[in-house]
Amino acid sequence: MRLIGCHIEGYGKLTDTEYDFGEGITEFCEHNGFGKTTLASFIKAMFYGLPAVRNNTAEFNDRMHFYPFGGGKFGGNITFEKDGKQYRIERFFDRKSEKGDTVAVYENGKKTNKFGKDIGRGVFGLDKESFERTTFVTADAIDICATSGISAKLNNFVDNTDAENSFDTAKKRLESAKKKLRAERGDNDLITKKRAEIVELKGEIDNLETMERTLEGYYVELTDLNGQIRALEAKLESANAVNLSVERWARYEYLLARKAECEKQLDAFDIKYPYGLPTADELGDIKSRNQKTIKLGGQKTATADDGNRGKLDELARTFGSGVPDFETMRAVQNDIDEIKRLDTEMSATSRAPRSRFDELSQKFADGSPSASDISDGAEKAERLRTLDDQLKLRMNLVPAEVKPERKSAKPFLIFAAVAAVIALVGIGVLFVSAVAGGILLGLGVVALGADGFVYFKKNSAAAHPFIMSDDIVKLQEERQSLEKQLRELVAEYSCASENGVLFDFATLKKDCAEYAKLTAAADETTERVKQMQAASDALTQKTKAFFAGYGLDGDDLQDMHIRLLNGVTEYMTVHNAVASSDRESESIQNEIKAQCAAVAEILAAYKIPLWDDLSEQIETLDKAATEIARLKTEKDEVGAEADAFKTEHGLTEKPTEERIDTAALTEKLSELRRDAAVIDTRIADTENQVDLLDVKRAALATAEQTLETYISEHAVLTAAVESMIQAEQNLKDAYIAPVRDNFLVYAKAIENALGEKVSMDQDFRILFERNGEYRSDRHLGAGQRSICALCFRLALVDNMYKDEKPFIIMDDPFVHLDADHMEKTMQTVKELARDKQIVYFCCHDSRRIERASN
Amino acid sequence: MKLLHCADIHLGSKMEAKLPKDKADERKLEVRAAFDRMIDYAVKNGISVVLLAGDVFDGDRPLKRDKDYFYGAVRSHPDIDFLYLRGNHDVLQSYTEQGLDNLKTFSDEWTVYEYGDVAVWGIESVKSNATAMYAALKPDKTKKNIVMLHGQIGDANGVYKINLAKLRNKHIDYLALGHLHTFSDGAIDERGKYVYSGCLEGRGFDELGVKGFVELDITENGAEYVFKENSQRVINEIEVDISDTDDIYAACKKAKSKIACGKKDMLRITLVGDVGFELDGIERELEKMTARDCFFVTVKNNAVRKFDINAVKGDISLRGEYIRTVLENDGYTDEQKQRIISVGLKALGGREVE
Repeated sequence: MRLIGCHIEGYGKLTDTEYDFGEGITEFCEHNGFGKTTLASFIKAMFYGLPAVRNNTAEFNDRMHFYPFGGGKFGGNITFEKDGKQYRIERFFDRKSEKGDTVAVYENGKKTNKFGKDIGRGVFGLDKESFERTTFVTADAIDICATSGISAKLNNFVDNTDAENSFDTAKKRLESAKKKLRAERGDNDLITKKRAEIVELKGEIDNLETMERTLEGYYVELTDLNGQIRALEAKLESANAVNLSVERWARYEYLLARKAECEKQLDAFDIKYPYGLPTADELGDIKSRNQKTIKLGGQKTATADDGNRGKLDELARTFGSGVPDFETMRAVQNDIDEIKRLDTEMSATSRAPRSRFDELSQKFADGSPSASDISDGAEKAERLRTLDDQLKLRMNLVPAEVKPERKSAKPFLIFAAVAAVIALVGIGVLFVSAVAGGILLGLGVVALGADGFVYFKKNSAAAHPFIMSDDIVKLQEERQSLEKQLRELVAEYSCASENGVLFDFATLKKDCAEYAKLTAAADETTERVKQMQAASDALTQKTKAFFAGYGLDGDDLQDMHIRLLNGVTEYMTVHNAVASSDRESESIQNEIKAQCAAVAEILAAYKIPLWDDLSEQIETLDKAATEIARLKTEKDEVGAEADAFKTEHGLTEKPTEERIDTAALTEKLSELRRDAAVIDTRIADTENQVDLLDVKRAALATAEQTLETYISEHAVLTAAVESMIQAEQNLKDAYIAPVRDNFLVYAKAIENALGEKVSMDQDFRILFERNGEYRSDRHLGAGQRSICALCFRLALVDNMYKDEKPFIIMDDPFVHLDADHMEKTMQTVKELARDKQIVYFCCHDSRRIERASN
Repeated sequence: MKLLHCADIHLGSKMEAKLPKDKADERKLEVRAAFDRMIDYAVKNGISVVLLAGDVFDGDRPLKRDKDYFYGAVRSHPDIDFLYLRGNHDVLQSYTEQGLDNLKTFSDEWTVYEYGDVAVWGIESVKSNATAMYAALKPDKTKKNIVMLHGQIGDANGVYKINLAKLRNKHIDYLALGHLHTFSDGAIDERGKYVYSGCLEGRGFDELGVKGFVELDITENGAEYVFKENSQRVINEIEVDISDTDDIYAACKKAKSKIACGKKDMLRITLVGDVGFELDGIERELEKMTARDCFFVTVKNNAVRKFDINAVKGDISLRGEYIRTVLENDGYTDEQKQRIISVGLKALGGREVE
């Protein structure tokens, strides 16, 4: 592989610059600031890119460092040859981020992607760090040891696989598994946890075993308690047997005693009733008769009604002089009715209408005309009517010259309307007030009639005008005289009217006649009222006197009659009831006597006297009979029971033992049973917990087995890791040794320049021998170390790149060498780099390779 | 007359199959349930005598709750006589209940219970009677004789050892035995048979197969009996050769295809054969895959890892170098070498190392 050239569009201070790289050594010896490091960085950046600018760090990285000072495009291209093909990488950078970068690879002018995204790795097979350590040599302090990347590369050469991390990954997996089993630090691993679990389980098992031992104690305690309980139960059973025996004998004796008591009581009854007691039938008969007697007594009592008797006495006092019969009461009622009728008639007579009489009495208050006055007036009236006829006759012969004047009807109509209104109002008022309405209606009707009468009279008078002659005049004068006399007569009695004197006289004459008639009638009425009043008073006095005889007083005769009649009725009723009761009582008394006699007869058969209180005697006899029967039954039953009890329990003689008090034993037994129950519960509880013992033991066995497995697995993993490391070391020894050999070849070549004998171990650690002892390269001077580093890189390059050797960039790596070492080193470098392309940068002629003598 | 014969109930026993706690608790209850089922059978079939030929309880000091359960069951079936002969597990504290008329017990001397012409003899084995008991046993020839013992039959005398030869011609019709947990029977002589009823319910993979009790019918002709299956679950074991499988999936598939047990049963699969390192960890995978096939499945991997040393001899790689490094290390046993190589190859193969 060989670099051909590059074009820098813009990179640091370099812009639009072209460089060509020849075969062998291409040396750039320029003053500081020329851009040697920039060019070296550009070459590396073309293959591996630039790191992004990180905002959160103060690091001034290459992207920031080499951003073109004057701006513009940031990047360029590089052309190289590999495997006989020419490639060009064009890469331009964003100011900050890799995302903005553009990169393209061309193979013989055609774009290719054969190196992948990581172009440097694709071209060299190395990561950036490994590239820098092998082909990029600077004067910086360098770790000469191989990186894992270099190691992997070497492994791949021998393994021919792509799994460059296989060892690391495998070792990591094994160690990870190992750490899971046993952590290097802390206690978060399976073995530690399992051990802790085992410790805990053992603790739990210890506890449970302790409880199990306690359980033994409980069992013993329970057994002991059960023994005590059984012993006590036996004792109690024995005591109960004695007690039972005693109780049975006591029971037997009790039965005998009861039998004796029955006999004793029966004897007492025999003494009391030596002739025995009535039979049950007889007692039943006695009871029946007694019941009947009691019932009759009750009827008698009910019959002799004290209430009625008292009432009768009270009424008898009222009717001490005898009780009026109903005929008398009816006559009195008739009298009362007559009094009422008389009062009514008197009242009606007194209230008969007298208005005409009163009117005429008022009219003739000063006396009425005498009969002669009336007779004389009648003659004059007759003469007047004759004159009027004559005049009428004579006047009919005279022609009429003047038409009769018709009087207007209007005033009459108005008056009639007013009267009609009054009458109608009166009709309306009738619904409110009968009196006022009647007055108004009457007034209206009268006014309407008067209006009509006057109207027709006037018109009639006006219809007969006549023409007077002399004789007529005479006649008229006579008539006028007569009329005057008559008028004076009627005026004296206020009978004058517009109807003419004849009419007025006729009225007077009629009124006089009527007045005389009415006066006679009034006198007759007065007389008749007087008669009726006298009759009424007589009857009232008589009736009151009648009622007073029965203690009644007052003006209301009818009320007194009713009260008296009620009293009579009540008296009669009570009187009859008392009489009936007395009859029934007598009959009942006779029946009672008969019943008592029958009972006495029955009792006499047993020499038992009859008591006054038969009910009490019956009860006593009944009780005695019942008790005797009961006693006989009980005596028989108790006797039989005693015999049976004696037989059943084999009682022969009274036990000699005393009754034993078992209360204390029972209490003790209860106490023991309670204690046993407590222990029993404890046992159950403890057993429940101890039951876990098997589970815990099994868990412990499992845990211990698991721990054993873990430990075994850990041992296996430890052995696996060690074997893996050993295998890799073996690989290194077998296949990576050439790197060391090459290094030693290079080191030998520059041994003179170094002034030390240098060696390398299997882990690529460079050692040098001084005073017979190998020392680390850290003890070498910086210049010596830079030579060693160069040798190591050349050795790596020789082994890692079998087919094609890569170019080597030396960025003034020998600044630490003095002139003598520099001279020797440069000679060696020229020799060693004969088949390699080296791009060498320095800034001083003293470090130029070209000037080194061949 | 019909009787039931059972033994080795082992109430209170822990479960031997490394069951998870919940399943172990369930199994303990199932052991009780097996006893209940047997009693139910007796009740339904009008059987009034149950022979318990030892090891009713699992320990000398049975847990209170187990005793409460057992004696409760006896108490609640007063019409059934329980003839309880202690075995080697329930020697000390088993007879704690008193006042149970239907509980008939035995001692270190011959005890006989008679039911008509059927006589049930029994003796509990102790050192003092281990030899003498045979001479002391004198059943009536005219009766139907049942003898109860607990121990291993053989031709020697001793505690819990039953010298079958010495029981010959003792007019025994039926020798009801306890001690072995699997049903088995055989002849004592021309007249009698010996029978191990086995346990009522298997508890671990050392008690494989169907378990139950014996229904015994004593007739004029002698003793006739039949084994009655009673166990809730059957414990099975199968062996699967996975030599012909190249990966875990194929091996698991093959093992699953061999499973022949019910969903409620328990199974142990033992893997055998020569296998590659690819099958490391198959037991865990197989247990997961078969977990739903049975009540409980456990896998025991007895397969041997095969490895061809010649195959990596010329392998110039870290892998080859690793194998060579391990194999050449004399500090490891062959098994260790197998395991070290196994994990190393896993790591190099990009697989996680567990």
